[in-house]
Amino acid sequence: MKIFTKAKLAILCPALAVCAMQSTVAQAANDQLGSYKASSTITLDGAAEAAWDKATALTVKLDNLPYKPGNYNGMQETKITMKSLYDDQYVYFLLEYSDPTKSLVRYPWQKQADGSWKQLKDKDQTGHDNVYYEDKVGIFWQIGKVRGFEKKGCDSACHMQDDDGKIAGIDQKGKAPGRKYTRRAGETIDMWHWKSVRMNPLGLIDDQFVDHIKDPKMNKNWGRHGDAKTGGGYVANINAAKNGPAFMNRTQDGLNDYTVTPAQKTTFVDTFNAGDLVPGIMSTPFTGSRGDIWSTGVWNDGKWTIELKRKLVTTGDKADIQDVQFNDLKKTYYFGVSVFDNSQINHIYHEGSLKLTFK
Amino acid sequence: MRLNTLNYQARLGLSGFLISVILGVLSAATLIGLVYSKHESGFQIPEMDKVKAKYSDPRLVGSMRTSMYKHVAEDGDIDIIAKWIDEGAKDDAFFKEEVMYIIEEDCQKCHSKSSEMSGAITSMPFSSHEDLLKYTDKGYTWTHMAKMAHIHLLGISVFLVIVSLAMAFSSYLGVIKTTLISAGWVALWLDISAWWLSKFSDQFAYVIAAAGTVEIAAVVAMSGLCLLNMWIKVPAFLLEENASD
Repeated sequence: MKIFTKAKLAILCPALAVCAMQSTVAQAANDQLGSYKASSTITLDGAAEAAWDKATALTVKLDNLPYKPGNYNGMQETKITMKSLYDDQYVYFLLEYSDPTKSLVRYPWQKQADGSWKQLKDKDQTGHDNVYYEDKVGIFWQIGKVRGFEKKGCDSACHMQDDDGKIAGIDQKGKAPGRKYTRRAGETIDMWHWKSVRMNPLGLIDDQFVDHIKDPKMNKNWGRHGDAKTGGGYVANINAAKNGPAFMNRTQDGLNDYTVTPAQKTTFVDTFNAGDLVPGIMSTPFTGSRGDIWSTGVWNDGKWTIELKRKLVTTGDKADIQDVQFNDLKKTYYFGVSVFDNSQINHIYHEGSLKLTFK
Repeated sequence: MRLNTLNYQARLGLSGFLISVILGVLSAATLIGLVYSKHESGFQIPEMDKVKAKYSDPRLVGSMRTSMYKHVAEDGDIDIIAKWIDEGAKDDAFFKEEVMYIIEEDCQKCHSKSSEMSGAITSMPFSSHEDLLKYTDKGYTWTHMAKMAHIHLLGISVFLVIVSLAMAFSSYLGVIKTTLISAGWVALWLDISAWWLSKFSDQFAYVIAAAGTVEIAAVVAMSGLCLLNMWIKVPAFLLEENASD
């Protein structure tokens, strides 16, 4: 009996290991996100209410980075868990990911010991900040058909410097490690850019898109564009002398400490102590197509929880080329997701594309 | 001496080795299944077209069809690269306009001396015609083949000789022992030989697949049978007549 038990163990151990191995293989192919019909109202409050229990989660490991900024101390990898619901008008997403640091200190003004003000910035070798920035999430959606997107996801629009420091033959040394653009005219990607400082306090996502432009003379951000807007946005909070802030918030309440919002905006009056911070940016809600995705993100105990919603079908200016349209609930919608940890452009991403289907 | 007469500690140690061998070989099989399968379907039985691509196609094309397939935007891109190589891999307008576009889009982000992307392969830049020309020979280059062949032959021999000896000292019928030991070694030689011969005919890809399967099966079977022989009572019809001990 004793020998039999030992024999069983000897056979069981490799069997379990093989099962674990096969399980890992099975997980590797997990790239499907189902969107389920919501049975109750979803409130965008950054908390996963019971209604979300109906949706099956997709968890994706993000562990790739596009370049190595000299001053980047953020995450090298994280896991993002996504759920989706929909109703007659809207599609909803719940995003949750671990991030040990809540990073909101984006280019703040800081009062110096001598009474002057200094805007805090710390740029890397490419001219982008990874110290005084904000946490962000990017979601790319294929609009129509984009070469390579269904297989490679966001990577299909990613172009990095070659060994001569050029992208599409244009010198980018010290400017940008990479640029976003699609291959052909007519190929566009919807880019949902959640920004924890600039738009989260206003309950919006910065809705952008990527097209085929690869000439900085035509667009300084190459293929990246903001959606059509009728108003709103964010501008630097800087005085005419360019040596301090022009405005400030009436109160510093935690969430709104790093951007000046319309409800809080007041003329800057310097009653501050050395070391105090004042927002370096001012935000007003986008109106028009650029402001047609609503969201709320909350950081708690090392985790961001973000709820967002958008109309299944948008009708704004140029919506057909700037927004993915969920107008066929039997279709598969391809997308990719990445997380920015206090970084301007460095982001943690996954390889390949993810697939959204409506259930 | 028989396996089942070894003392408890000897059987324990040998079992640890044999279990590790089984896991290692099954891991290799899993890797092969993933590399040579359709990527959208996860782990599958390897596809012969992908095996042929690896060993008979130019290395650049073979990699695009197998291990690097996930980075290739469209299957048509592979055909364009294959056409360029078939027509002499010239540094002409087709190369500059068509081939380099695909290389820039699908490969160069990682295959660049200055790349800092996760997974960058800075030692294998694809920046020029000269860089790419190194990977246009059919199958592995002779240098790469010699390197891979000696690593596989010497590495596999080390554990195969121990598994073979364990099998030789088991209580099984001589015909079982001789068959499995011979199968392991012959399959190893056939597998490696077929790598070389596939450069001349892609039909040898079938030999690679068959020999690899036999090799894995023989090693797993010998290791498994030795474990059974050490720990449980094996049916008498499988044992040599004088193996009552």
